[in-house]
Amino acid sequence: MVKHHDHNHPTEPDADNFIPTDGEIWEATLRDLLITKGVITPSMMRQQMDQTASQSASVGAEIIARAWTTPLFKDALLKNPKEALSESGYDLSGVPDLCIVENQSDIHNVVVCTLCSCYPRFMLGPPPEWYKSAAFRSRIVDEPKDVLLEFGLDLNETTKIRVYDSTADIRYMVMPMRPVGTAHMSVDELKPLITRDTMIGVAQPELPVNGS
Amino acid sequence: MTSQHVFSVADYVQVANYQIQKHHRVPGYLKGKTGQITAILGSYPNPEELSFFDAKGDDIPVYRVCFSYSRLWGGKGVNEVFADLMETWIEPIQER
Repeated sequence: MVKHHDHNHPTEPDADNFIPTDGEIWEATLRDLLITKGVITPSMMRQQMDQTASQSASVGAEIIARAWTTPLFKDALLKNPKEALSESGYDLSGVPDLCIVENQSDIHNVVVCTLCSCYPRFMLGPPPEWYKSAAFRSRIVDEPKDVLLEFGLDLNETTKIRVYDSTADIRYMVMPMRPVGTAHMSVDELKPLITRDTMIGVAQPELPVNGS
Repeated sequence: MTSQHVFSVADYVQVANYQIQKHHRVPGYLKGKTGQITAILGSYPNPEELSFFDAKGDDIPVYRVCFSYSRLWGGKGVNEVFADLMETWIEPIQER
């Protein structure tokens, strides 16, 4: 006979078992209204959410790796990103205007949107939570060196930090510097070095440790 | 719809310093600050009107403006902040 289980365990609350915020009520109401009025369908909504969440920084990594290995593409990309990408076969329908800023030995770039969370989703996927936080957005324009240090990026004293605040219609992405010792590496070998954070500008590409 | 831009690259300009209650697309920390235009980015529908489904006017020229650390926060520092600002929020320089 099974012993009767006569005591309660503390339970972890369900993630959505909270009183909705004003914003969540607004969103649900607006969504219901758009569906009721036939402006969108639930399927369109799901497809858009699916597509948004499926974008990833691997697109950006491929673009940067190609730029590192193809000087002509790099020049075109820095000059007019959408034109260069379009000519390379990327589908840019619905993508906002882009600007790619290149790190140099004495200039380090970092991207923020102090007003909200504008982000080059086409190349980097959905932004990380910290990118949207009030702490990052307010501090990076005021004390960028300290903030980057907290990310583990200890820049030289003489390096100029340029913070790009995406306040309008242009989305910014950083082209990190190609690390020394990678001259022999192919696009596919370079891609893993170019992470999301290196293209936001809170990190620099690092060579894998020997043996890994 | 395009409109002529009033300012040019290398101009020093000041960000307008007033409050409006409705949606506006200029960061508070830049209001009243002086910067230098580094690029003219084209013209875009005014998002402050778009947010109320009311973009009737011409597209607004948008400039990339560079603010030095000392002009933003005082003190010394080599760092810079670049922001993209609509012409409606930019004024000719009052003082250098």
